[in-house]
Amino acid sequence: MKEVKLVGVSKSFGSTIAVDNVSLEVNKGEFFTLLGPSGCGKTTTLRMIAGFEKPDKGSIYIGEVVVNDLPPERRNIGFVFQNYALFPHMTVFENIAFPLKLKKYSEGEVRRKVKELLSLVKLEGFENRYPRQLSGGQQQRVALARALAREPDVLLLDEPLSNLDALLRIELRRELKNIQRKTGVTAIYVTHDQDEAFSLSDRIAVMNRGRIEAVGSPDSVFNSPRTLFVARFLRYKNIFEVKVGKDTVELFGKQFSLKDFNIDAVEGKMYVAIRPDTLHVSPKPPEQVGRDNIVLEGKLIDKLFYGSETEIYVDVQGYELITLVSTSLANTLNIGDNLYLLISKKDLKFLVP
Amino acid sequence: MRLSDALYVFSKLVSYITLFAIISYIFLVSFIPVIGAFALKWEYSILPEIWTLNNLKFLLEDPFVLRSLYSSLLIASITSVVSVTMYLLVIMFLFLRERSRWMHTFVEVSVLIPLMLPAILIALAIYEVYRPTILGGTYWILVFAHLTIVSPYVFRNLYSVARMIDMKTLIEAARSLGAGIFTATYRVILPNIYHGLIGAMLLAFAVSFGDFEMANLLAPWQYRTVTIAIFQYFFKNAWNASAIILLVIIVSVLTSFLVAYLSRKAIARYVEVVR
Repeated sequence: MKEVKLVGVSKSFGSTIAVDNVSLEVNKGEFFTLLGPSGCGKTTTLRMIAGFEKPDKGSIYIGEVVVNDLPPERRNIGFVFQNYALFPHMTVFENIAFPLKLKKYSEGEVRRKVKELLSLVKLEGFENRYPRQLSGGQQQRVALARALAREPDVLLLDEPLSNLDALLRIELRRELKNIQRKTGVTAIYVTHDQDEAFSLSDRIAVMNRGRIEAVGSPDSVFNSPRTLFVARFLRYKNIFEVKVGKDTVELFGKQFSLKDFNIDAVEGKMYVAIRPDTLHVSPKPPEQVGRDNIVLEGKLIDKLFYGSETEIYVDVQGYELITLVSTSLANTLNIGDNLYLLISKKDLKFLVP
Repeated sequence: MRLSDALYVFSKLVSYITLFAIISYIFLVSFIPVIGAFALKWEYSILPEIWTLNNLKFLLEDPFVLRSLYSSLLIASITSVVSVTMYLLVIMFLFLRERSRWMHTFVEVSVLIPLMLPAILIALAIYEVYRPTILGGTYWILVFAHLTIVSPYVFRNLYSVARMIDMKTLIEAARSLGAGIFTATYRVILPNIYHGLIGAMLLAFAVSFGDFEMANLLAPWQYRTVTIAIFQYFFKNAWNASAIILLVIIVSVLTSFLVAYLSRKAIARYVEVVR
């Protein structure tokens, strides 16, 4: 069942197109992430779902209802802000009780619910503190509890962890996922951090220049990029331009039949992306190659030590390929050595510009 | 005593003397006219030669004095409430709706214009424009004029507190939690800016209460303000004018304390209720 649906939604600010004809569906109970660099339109999309911005075109559904003309207070959403946005003049208790009092809950009910929510976010005993007396992480937990108090149809989170330090971010990430699982609330999460997106989400949409470039499970988005932008954004280090003919493709100076690769080839300019961890390095030619693999021969040109692993740079017909090997193997290799790189054909990702 | 210690003591002494001199100057200038309120004869000496309390009796006997005080209080109160409400709306518009930095700068500069123009010029302009209208001959024409001269003080006060609290995000947070725009303003914004609000109201009150140039030209006959009264009596009997000044100072101080006390109590109660 769809909880949130966007159909052809666009939004411009002056002459800048922030969101360009975006359509997406978020299922009930799903953790859905909008991932992309700053300025890609992810926050504007979220703010339109919340009702803080009005779309120029298209429809936004929450449940079965088109909410384009509904103000935020009538959408039954929860919104968690990057800077927490707690009410400074209210205590933790009063902040969380705010939406409950608006719903005219009895005093007893308000107390019971606030207690429940505080235990959910592990902040029992903090009821009487003011936001200024809490750390960033604690403030964000209060903000989360407050957003959940309304029992929203959909919880919208706008980079909620980006103001926290790295360790706390990882800790809160797990808690956030657990809380979402426990409550079963539909969550739409905005972030520019791919680790956060992959670890939290059931599905991800990668956005660029106001458009969605990829949607799917973290696994499918990460392993099957289709556009140059997505591959670059997901830090595929080896990306090269390739020439695609009618039936063949030229790769690292060799011709391959298009049938060997699972691509809907576009004749002309395409790109190929290879993840460093899918290249297998050996100093000797592999004995068995197999039909599904290809072997590239090159020269070691540089090594960068990263602890247990070492990044090595190999020159193959003028193309510089980066791969990771164990440091113990790297220690046996010298600059200028001949190396053989074995790669499965399915690990070559063909991209459109 | 070492030289550095001696220099320290000397510099401290100089600071105290300077501070004392400045404060004495302010007090002397403000209070010399007040001494006149108790003078019957004061010509060739530092203090009056003959003292009296008759000037104070005159305050209670002449209905024009109390009437003018009432007019000033009325006009200053209306000006302060209206200006604060008006500029609160302007500031909310700027912070909630207006994205362009240009618009913020434009409003900031526009509200400063009354400070740069002579008050008499604004008074003449308002007199020319509104005299033939329904406002001509009422005290509202003076309220309108005062709304222009208090604008820099009210706007700057409110603008700086509004910037401190990230008004836009707080309103959005409240709305996402189910509050309408009015509830959000009443329960979330106002409790966080009340210091600025009270400060702006007191400033507007003081500026309006102390104005003479505009009042002299615009106040209708039955709403002549206390500054006009002082001016008129100055030529009749300067010691009576001094008595009015004394009265004005007492009323101003009392009003400030009363407003501060009542607003603190009211705000404490209000913050308690809205939470």
